[in-house]
Amino acid sequence: MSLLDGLIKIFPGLKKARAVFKSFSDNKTIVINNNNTNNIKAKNVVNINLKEYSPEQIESLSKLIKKTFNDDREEVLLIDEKSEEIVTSFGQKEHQNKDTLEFFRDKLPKEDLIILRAALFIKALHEENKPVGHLKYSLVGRYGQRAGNITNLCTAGYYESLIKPLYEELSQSDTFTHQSFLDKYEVIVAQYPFAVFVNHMMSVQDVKNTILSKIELNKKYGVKFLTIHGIGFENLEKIKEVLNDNELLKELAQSPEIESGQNFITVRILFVPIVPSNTLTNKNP
Amino acid sequence: MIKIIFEKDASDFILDSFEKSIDEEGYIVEKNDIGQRVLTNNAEEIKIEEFAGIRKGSEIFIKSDLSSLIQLCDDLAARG
Repeated sequence: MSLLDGLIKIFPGLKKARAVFKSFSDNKTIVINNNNTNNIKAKNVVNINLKEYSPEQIESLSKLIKKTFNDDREEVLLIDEKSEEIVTSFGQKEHQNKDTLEFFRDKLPKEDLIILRAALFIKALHEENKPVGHLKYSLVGRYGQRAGNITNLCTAGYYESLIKPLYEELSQSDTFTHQSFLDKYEVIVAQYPFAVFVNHMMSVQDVKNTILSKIELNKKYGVKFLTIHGIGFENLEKIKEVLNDNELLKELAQSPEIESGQNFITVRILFVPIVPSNTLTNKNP
Repeated sequence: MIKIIFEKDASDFILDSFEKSIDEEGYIVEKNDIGQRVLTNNAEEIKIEEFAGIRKGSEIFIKSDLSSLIQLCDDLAARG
């Protein structure tokens, strides 16, 4: 007995099933819920609300699902609603990111590439103002803080705007080796000295201290800029408060460049790198 | 392909169909051997709140974290 015949035998009132299965012969979707508020309203699915049926019917459905699952002729996937949304959405978004992924495919450590695929998906959802905190959290849970760093860098666009150009520039050199790129890439991913990502766990003092320590680090290496990223009202407010701090202000070479929206802020600050003392001596004999 | 999408409140029904239950710590276990926790194909135990589904290949349990779902996408794509 096919799944369709089995369903109609158990649920005689489920007349829609035959039409749906006939119309969508390649992909047959059944939605099972256990309440009266079915969240999936698509036309091309067969909905079964367990609350509407007797224990005998539910028992029969249970057996039918197991039998269909064990039938070698059928490809069956059981998946929860929210995961199904992610799987469907991921397939669409990854297609949009294929150029970036293709560029990095043979250039990044294998695990970083896996994280980058996830991070690009998170970035795409974030740009649609969809909640992404739980996705980033699950990524960090599996891969550790490195996944958080890669997601931060990716969401802020640094893979396209900084890491890709870095590789392209380095690879022009006659002495280029892949390892020389990986060494620089490692510093970026582990420390991202050019950026501060403010998160909800940081206090205003944490934000200020992080910015000042990164300024100090960058000055040491002659880097004269730092970009501060914040998402969410609370983080915006923290960054604004720190930007008025006298200790920070005295480090700046000019007014910060601020780009902000209702829910995000990006602040680029320029500061004066430490000038070697002999240079000062030459300028001021 | 037959896709059976279940809402969270039907998870118990799905697990029951496959003769699984939940132990005291919230892990999915074999109903007839509650000391035996089910494993994902990465040999990870799986809690009910992490349960995303089951796919064929005997019974492959899927976790709901992003990395596991990307792996599922790849596996489905490889099967055409």
